Amino acid sequence: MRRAVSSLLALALACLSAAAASGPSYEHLTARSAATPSRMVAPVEGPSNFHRLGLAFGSSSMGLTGVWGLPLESYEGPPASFMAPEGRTRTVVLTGADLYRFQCRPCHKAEGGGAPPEIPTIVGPVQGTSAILMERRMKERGRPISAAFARELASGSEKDLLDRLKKGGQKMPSFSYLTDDEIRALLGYLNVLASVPGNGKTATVTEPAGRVGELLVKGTCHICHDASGTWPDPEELMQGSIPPIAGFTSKKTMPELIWKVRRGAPVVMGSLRLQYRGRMPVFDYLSDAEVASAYLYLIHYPPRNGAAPRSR
Amino acid sequence: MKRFLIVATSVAMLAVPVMAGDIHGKITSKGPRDSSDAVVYIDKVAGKTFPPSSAHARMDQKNMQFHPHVLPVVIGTTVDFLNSDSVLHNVFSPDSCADRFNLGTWPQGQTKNFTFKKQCFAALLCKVHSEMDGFVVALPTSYFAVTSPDGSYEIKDVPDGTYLLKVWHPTLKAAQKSVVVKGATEVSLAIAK
Repeated sequence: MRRAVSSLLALALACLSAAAASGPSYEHLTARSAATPSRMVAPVEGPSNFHRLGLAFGSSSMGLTGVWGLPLESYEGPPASFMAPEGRTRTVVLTGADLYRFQCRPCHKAEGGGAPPEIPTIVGPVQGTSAILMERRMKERGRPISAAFARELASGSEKDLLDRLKKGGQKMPSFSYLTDDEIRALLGYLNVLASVPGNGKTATVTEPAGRVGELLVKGTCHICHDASGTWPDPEELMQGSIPPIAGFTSKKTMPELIWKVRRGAPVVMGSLRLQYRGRMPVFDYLSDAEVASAYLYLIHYPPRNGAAPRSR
Repeated sequence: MKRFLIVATSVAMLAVPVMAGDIHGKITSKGPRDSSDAVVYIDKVAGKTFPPSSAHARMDQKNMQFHPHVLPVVIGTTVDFLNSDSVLHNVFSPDSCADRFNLGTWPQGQTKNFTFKKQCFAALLCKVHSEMDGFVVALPTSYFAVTSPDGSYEIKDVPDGTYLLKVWHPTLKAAQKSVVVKGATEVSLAIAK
């Protein structure tokens, strides 16, 4: 029996062998590595950021990529030949750019400009952390400041930025689950994005494989999707209900989830049970392997209830 | 009787109002998109001092701009800086006459303040949003006005007399003109870079 289970697992793994789209410098997750418990990896829990703020989908730009994928009539599901990514490594090397894609890009967009006035640009706050830039700007304005004053201003801005990441803001969720190393790598990329003078070198961070899925689920999916709850019926979906993360792995296969996230998929909605394009944008900047890692993370670290969502 | 006459004369003299008028006119700014933001002021009135009001002045940070863009106050006035935006704002000044203050950052609905103790044309900036700027102009008298977009201004209740009327603008050269105020007095000037 044990041998049969092992064979099945090996067969399943063999099916997960396709090259990933461009992504970070890891190969892919293995079921083994994702299953390996890590103190660093923790389940997603509690209400989505939308739910926490009492917002309804459509009333905010948060989580919207601006990309909607194929029109409904040209949709094709994952082909039978599609094989989800396979992995062989226990650890993954993430760059600051990867962390930005998972944690920041869903709201602040690829260039960091956000969606003003609701979602402000990250460029100004990041540029404010550079004493060199501050000194240069004041000189250009004809009001030069000393290097010491520039450092004082920049140091305050850096503290503000770190506080914002750790504690969140009025609408921005807290990213307190990021480690110091992850924040260091992320800040390095934010400096590049905001054209802060420097050597352009950015740190990377080596993670347990399951952490990639965790970062993606918490930084991207959890903006709109509650961690747990009841899967809405077609009528509730039509009225704007958003399915909980907890149902992703039971309602969809890994290829289906990859297709849904990266290319889009129709949704059956309304009392007539018709197929619609749905409201979820397409996250084409994620790789198949990254979505696969989210899928495996959800299997091995099932979402938790957490605090009760605020009523709308 | 003599004493009565002296007292009556004194009372009559006290009752005679000091003649005062208004200074009004237009300051035409050459270069900027309109003629707003010029501060027209008198910085010396013989025999008079101008204690600051105990009420605070206010400058708002709203829609990523300082409102008003230019705020004249009497020296010693405390200015409250309100953040009306949903993002964190900061206010600092690079100018030594404002002690190069840096008030840190604060969220929507909260204020921080600074007391302008010296005569100053202080630039105010937000280190988070480099495109924002505002100006507090701290002056020794309360005889000042800020021009409207068409350049018009009015300084009310100026005692009759001879003054040096001065004009300050955030980006244009300062100007001044000697004026004799007698009742309503019109003074117009042009300023440029």
